[in-house]
Formats: sequence, C-alpha cells, structure tokens
Amino acid sequence: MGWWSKALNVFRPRLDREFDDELRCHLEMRAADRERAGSSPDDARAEAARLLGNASRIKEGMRDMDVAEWLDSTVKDVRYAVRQMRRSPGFTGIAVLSLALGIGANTGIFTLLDVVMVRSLPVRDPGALVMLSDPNSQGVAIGSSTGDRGLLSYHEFDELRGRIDAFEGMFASESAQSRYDGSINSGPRENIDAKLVTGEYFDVLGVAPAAGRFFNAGEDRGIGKAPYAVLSHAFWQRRFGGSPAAIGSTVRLGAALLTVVGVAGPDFSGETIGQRPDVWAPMTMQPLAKTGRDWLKEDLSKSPDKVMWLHVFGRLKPGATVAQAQSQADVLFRNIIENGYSRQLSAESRKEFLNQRLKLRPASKGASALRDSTGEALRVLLCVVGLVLLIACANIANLLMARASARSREMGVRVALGAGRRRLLRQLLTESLLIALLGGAAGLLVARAAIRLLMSTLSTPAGAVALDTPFDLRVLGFTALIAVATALLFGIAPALRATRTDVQSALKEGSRGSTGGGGRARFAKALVAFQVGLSMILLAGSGLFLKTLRNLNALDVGYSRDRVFQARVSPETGGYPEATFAARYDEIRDRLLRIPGVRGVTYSKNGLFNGTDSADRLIVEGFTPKREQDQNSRYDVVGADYFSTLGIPILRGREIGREDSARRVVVVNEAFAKTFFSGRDPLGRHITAQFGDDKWTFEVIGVSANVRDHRLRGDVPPRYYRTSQGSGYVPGAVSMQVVTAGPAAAVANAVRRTIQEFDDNLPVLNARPVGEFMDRMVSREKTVALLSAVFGAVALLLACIGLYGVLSFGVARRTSEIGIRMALGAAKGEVIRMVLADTGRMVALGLAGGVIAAAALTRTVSSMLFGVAPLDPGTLAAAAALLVAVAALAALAPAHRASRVDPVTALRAE
Amino acid sequence: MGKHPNDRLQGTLDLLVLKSLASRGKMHGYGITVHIQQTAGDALRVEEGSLYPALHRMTQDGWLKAEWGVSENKRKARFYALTAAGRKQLAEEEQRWAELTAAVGRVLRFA
Repeated sequence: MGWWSKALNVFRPRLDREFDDELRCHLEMRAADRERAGSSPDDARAEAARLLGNASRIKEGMRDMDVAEWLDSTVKDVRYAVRQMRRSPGFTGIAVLSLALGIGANTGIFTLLDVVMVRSLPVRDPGALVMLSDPNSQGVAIGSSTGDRGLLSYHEFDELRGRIDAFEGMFASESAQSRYDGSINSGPRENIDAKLVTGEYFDVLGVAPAAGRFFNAGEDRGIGKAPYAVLSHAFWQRRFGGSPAAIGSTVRLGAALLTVVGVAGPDFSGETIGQRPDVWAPMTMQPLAKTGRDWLKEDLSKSPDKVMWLHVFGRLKPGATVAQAQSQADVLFRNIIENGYSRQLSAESRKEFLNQRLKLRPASKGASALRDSTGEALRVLLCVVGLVLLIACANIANLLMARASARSREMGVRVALGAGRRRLLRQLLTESLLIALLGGAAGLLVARAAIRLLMSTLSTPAGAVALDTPFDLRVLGFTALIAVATALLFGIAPALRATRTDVQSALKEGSRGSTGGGGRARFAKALVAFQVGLSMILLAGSGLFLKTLRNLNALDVGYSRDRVFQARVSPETGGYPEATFAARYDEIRDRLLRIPGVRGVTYSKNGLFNGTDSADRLIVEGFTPKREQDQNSRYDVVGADYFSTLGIPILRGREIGREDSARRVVVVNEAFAKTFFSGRDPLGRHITAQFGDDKWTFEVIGVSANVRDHRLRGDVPPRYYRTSQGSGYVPGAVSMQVVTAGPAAAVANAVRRTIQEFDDNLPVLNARPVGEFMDRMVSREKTVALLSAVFGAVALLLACIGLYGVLSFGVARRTSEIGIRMALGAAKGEVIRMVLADTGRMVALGLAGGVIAAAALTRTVSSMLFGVAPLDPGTLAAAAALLVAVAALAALAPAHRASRVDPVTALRAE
Repeated sequence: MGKHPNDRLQGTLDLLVLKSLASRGKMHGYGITVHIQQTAGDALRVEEGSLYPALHRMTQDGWLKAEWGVSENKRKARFYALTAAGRKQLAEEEQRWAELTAAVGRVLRFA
C-alpha cells in the first residue's frame, strides 16, 4: 500500500466507522461467549470491554499508525542516511559530484530545448496568437519571392491590419533586431540592440509595463510621429539601475531621437525566441533610425522590389479559427499583390510575381530562427549528456554495491533482529535519494554555467543568441525528476542485493562479507561492460564531430582565412547620394591601402561569410534550362582586382580590373562555367540578368576558380561577379576586404580609424578578420564537437573509475585464491595475466556492444558531419584504442597489487 | 513499512496471526483471538488491544485482505484472509523464528 493511501487515511471518516463496527463486533461476540459460559449479561459485557482495553486508544492507534509511523520512520531513515553519508565522505563526494555534472548538464540542455522548442511566450493567452510570416525566417530580403512567403513588407502589413475579421488585433515586428551605434541622454556612443515594432505590439501581445507606459497604435501613425522608446526590463536594470528616472531619458538610434516612455515587464523579452532587444521603438521611426533607407514605402508600379523584413502576428477573436483567418487573409493578400504589381509588366513577369501566398500558423511559441539551426544540435547534446548520466549512475551503483557487501554483516544482524526487508530497502533507497537530490541541487549550479556556455558557443553570424532561461517550476521539476530517476536507477539493484541476505552465512564468523560474491561480481562486471559500451558510443561520436570540425576548419576556401580583414561600410546610411557611392568606395579603398602591413584592398557587395547573398533570374546565351534551378544564379558585385587581391586564381580570360568598373562584364566561377557552358568556351558569351522587366546583359571575360564565400558545406554553387557600376545599380553598402601581410586581427584598429577619419558619421559594421566570420559559421559544429569531447572524456574517466573499483574489489576478494595459486607455483606474470584477462573480457564485451550501438546512432547525425562517414573506421578504431589503453592503465594498479600477494599471509588469514 | 519499537514481539504477534489464518482460512478478529488462545492454552495471551492495529497494518502491507461478511451468529463482521504476499511473509517469519529460537537455544546451552 502506497504513501498515497496512507495520507488519504487521515481524511477518511468512513474508516473510523469501520473501526467502530469491527471493535463493537468483537465486544458482542466476546460477551455472547461469556454469557454462554454462565456470566450475567452485564458481567459479560464488562469482562469483554476489560479484555479489549481502551477502544478509543486502539482506534487512535489504527488511524494514526500509518501516517505518524511513516513520518517517524522517514525522519529516522533520513537521519540514518545522513549518518552513512558522513561516514564515507569520499564516496558521497564522488557520487554527488558526478551526479551534479550529469544532472546539471541535462538540466542545462533541457532548459534550452524547452525555451527554444517548447515553451509558450509569456503573454496573455499565447494560444490565440497566429503568425502570417514564417517563424523560422529572420533578416531583410529585398526583391521578390515566390510560393509561401517568409517575411512580409510593411505595406502588406498595413493593408492587412484591421481587415481580417477573425483577428481582434494584429502587429508587425522587425524580424531581426538591429544593433545601433546609439547613445543614451546624448552620452558617448554605445551598442544598443533595438527592435522596431508597430504601435499595436504590446497591446495585442497583452503584456503590462513594469514602469511608465507603452506606446500604442494611436500614436504610431505617420513617419517620425511617435518618437518614443520602451526599455526592456533587463536593459533598464543594467543601464539605469532600475531607476524611475529612466522614464523621460532620450535614446538615439541612427537619426531618431526617442524619449523613453516605459519599461516592459521582467518576464517579457519579445516575440522572438533568441533575441533580447534593449529597446523597442515604433516602426514609423524606421526611416530615421536607419537613415537612407525607407522600408515603409512600397511602390511596386515603379520597381517590383519588396523589402521583406517583418514578422506579422494576429490574435484570434474568441471562437475564431486559424482556417477562418487564413481564408480571409488569402482574399486580402490576393488583392494586395494584384493591385500592387504594375499592369505594364509582361504577362510572364506578372505571372511570376503573383505566385505568392501567405501561410498562417499557430504562434503560441513565437518566432525563432533558432529552432532549425540549434534544435538538432541540442537534441544530440541531450543524448550525449543522457549517456554520461547513465555512466555516472552505473558507477555509483557499483560503488554502492561494493559497500553493500561490506555492510552485509550489518544487514544480516538487523534482519536477525527482526527488521523487515522492506524497511531496510527503504532505508537504503532513502540514502540513494538523498545523494541524488544533493547532486540535483548542485546540478542546478552546473546547469547555469552550461547554459551560459551553450548560449555563447551557439551564437551565429546572424547574431548572438540571447535567451531567457529562468529556473521555473518546469526546470526544477525536470531536475527533481531526473534526480529521483537516477536514484532509483543506481540505488535499486544494490539495495535489493544488500537486503537479500542470508542470515546464517552473514553471521557466520570468518565470513568476509562476500555475500553472493559470485553474483555481485557478475553484476559489477556487467555494469563496467555497460559503461565501456556507453563510453565507446560517446567517444566515437565526439571523434566524428571533432573530425567534422577539423575538416571544416582546414577546408580550402580558395583564399587565405588568416590574412583577410573585413569591414562593412554603408554610404547609403551615411547620407551620401547614390551617384557618389562608387567613388566613396574607391576613396575608402585607397585610404585603407595606406595602412602599413596592408597588401591589397578590394570590396564586394555581400562580403565573405557576412550572411547576405544575392541571386537573380538569368538567361545564358546558348543554354536551355531544363530544371527550375538552372534559371537562377547567385552573383556578387565586386570592386576592381577582386580576384588577384584575394589570391583567387583566374583559370581563363582575365579578371575585372580598374578600367572595367563601369563596363557590363562579368567573371564566372568554374561551377557556373560547368553548369551553363558545359564544354563550350564561356569567354565572350553573354548572360542576361533579369528582375521583373529589367534586364542587364553582361559579357563573360573570365573564369575564376571556385571559392567558398558564403557556405562551407555542400558544393560551391554557380556564381558570377559583376562590376560595381555596370550592374544597373551601385550597392548602398559593401564589405571591404583588407588583405594583410601579418595576422588580420592586427589591423582592426587601423581600419576602423581610417574609415572614421574619412567620415565620422559612416557606421563601421561587422569589422573583424574573415576567419572569425567563418568560426561563427561553424559555431554549432564547434559546440557539439567540444561538448561531446568533454563529455566523452568525462565518460571515459567514470568508466575507468568503475573498472578500477571492480578490479580492486575482485583482487581483494580473491586474495586467498591468488595466495593459493601462488603457493602452488603460479608466477607473478600469470596472476597479472589473470587480472588483465578479466579486464579484457569486460572491455571486449563493452566494445562490441558499443560499436554496434555507435553504428546505429552515428547514422542519425550524418547530416551534421562533414568530410567523414558515420562509420569512419579510423574514428571507431581510435576510440576503441583509446578505451583499451585507458582501461589497461586502470587495470595496472590492481594487477600489480595481485602479483604482490604474499601466499603465506593470504593463507594464514583463511 | 515500519515496525513498533518492540520489533521482535510484534513479529511474534504477526507470526501467530499469519499462522492462524494459514491453518484456518478466513477469520474475523475475534475468531483469531479465540483460535490462538485455544491452540496455545493459557501460556500465551493475545493482547487484544494490539491485535486490531496489527490486523490493520498487515492489511495495509498487503499481507492480508479484509472484507465485511456475516459471522456464524449472524453478525456483521470483518473477515481477514491471507494473500500470496502474506503466505510468503509467513514463511519468512517462520524461518526467522526458527533461527531466533535456535540462536537463543544455543546461547542457553553454552552460556
């Protein structure tokens, strides 16, 4: 009967009546017997009552026994457990520490998975939120889009808002928050992460301010009309110390000067998981905050370019469904695009542009670009730390097991004295539980550190990952749950075995406490084999991930990773007219060239690994596309001498030189030549880029080697390189590539200073060595590789401790046997061989199981690997060799001890 | 399940109750009292005040199952019977008792 029903007994008046009935029945029967024996009825009743004793006290006893006794014995159990733990601080320390590590890592990764994948936004009724944009998209896309739309333009939102009946409200928010070189109260420049949102934002989400007020839909009408800012609670605390004086302060973002009107609540950090803006500003401030770019205006009749940068949310009216909202949105959106695009466009272009749809989806969890990119990595890591926890459990089980045999005499005595087996079981399990709970509590600290580490290593070029990871009831519940589960996992088998004592043999004098020695040893060996198997899985996995990381880092990108510094400049944001952009780029290039140690400077529109790319529809002379993807090609716009400056070989023809800057010429890469000119000579051929009804025709003047400029994985896609002025437009921002003689990082300050000397108002963005951009590309791989390697090492260590313990115990137990063997003439070598053979059997068994399991598991992560097969024999062999070597090391000491057993002493003890 | 401080004697009562139910089948509390007294004679007195709490406890431990029925003289009474766990417990208690008496016997012989 469980604790539950005992607890229930307290509240059961029915039971009370049953006790009464039972006792009354007893009294009546006794009295009747007495009467039959000749007593008077009165005497009989009195006699019966006397014999039974105080009925109410008995009843009390029956009622209270369960609860009170249970409480009482629980207190005793805990006291006993604490005493046991203090008696063996070494064991307790190791157990708690390894559990803290295991449970902490599990809690940390669970927390992140929960926040990223599962948790709902901390807003009013999150279940009623619907997204009209793709929650996984983030950034700014300029141009056109086909099929299901990712992000929306402001114009589209403006046309939709208030018109979808199924919604009680809608808002739009900037999908990627922006980092501004801003200032507070006209102070020095500082980094401020801000997000532009429409006036309905706070109202529709249904959140309350912690101080002041929010801006609202009524104010956010017309450009520059709502110069207000709302601070995040964290920023308010960090930057203003939580002072009420923050309200009324000014925040400058670009050319927008905003007044702080309020502070958001502490739980709320926005609608996008992974972003934590410092400041929210009304969307109508956009043209001022991002000078030179007006993303609110859209006139598709002039240019079919849309600026798609917004997430759009709606809140369903009570009773309304997503399907209703979808059908209403479909009709409206159809109208928007049909009326939007020019009717002058050719039928073909128009048809293409009109092929766009909105896809509505439930959005209780908000938006997040993290789900795709990090979800898989987190799941893999959760498996890894789960395995480590299992290994730790096996270790503690083994240690407890060894202790159980040492305590078998004590158990025998207690059983002989009448202690029930259940009672002993409970006592031992209480001890396990206490250890696990201590481990869990310490694990919470480990989890905090793990989360911080993970967030920093998981950050991508798209931005730092910032998550709210409160230790709420869910996380605490998870931790408690795995603590209890681990306690049962490592505690039950040893407890069962410890209490399965044979009283006679336990009490027999001279018994060395080897209760069930054979069985125990078998179980311990099985545990060690199990640990070896799990370690094998972890080592094989971390080997594969490390190889992946090494391959990615060593990948030949086609130019020097360490000798190129990159910085982004934007004359468009700096307020320069478009006609002067090209001249500004050349001026900045020439100034940068004068920095000592700089070998060459060039630039490109998208930059290297900068997170942006361009593609257009393409017609290639003499080429008939057969597949949809052959009608498009990626491109970049590059400065003069781009290829020679970066050291990219030109395979045929020539590169784009200074004299080409205004000509309509292109260099294509090898992949482009192969796809579009297979076999024909590309030089002198023409390609035509097309956007809407605009067309630009270029002549191919050269073929360059394939280089990796945006992605490390996969094939290098076809790409062509246009000139800056011969493309129909000059980009408003470019990345300057500064090629250095020494390490690229050394010129960081000089580059920044040079650009600021040119124009102090020109923002310098993303200034760092190209190698760092690439590092951030592989942040996920790095996280997985490093963590799996660390945990692989921990697993190896734990497995070795387990192995060492089992072998030592085995040698101690078999001292007399070894003594006899040696007395009978066995050489030291044979004894050592005996111990090593024991080790060999355990390791071989574990390895066999581990390899099979690893083969099955690594296949599931093949998409995360690079340049290495999931069943890479080298990796498996290296992992196995490492395990064998370390196991041999762990076996050395016990083997040595066995070989030094003195036959005389060993036999005398017998 | 916990025990009263006087573990051994409590164990004796348990043993007696279990044994009675094993040999006689379903019985009510009063029946058990009478059975033990008749079998043991005057040498062993069942403390009636501790019998019912013991029955209750053993029921909660799953050794006994209890149900309301009608006694031989047509009274409503609570009847107890052994469960499989109870039978196992009885075997254990019997062995333990044998060990204890043997041990006590040894002490008495050699002390």
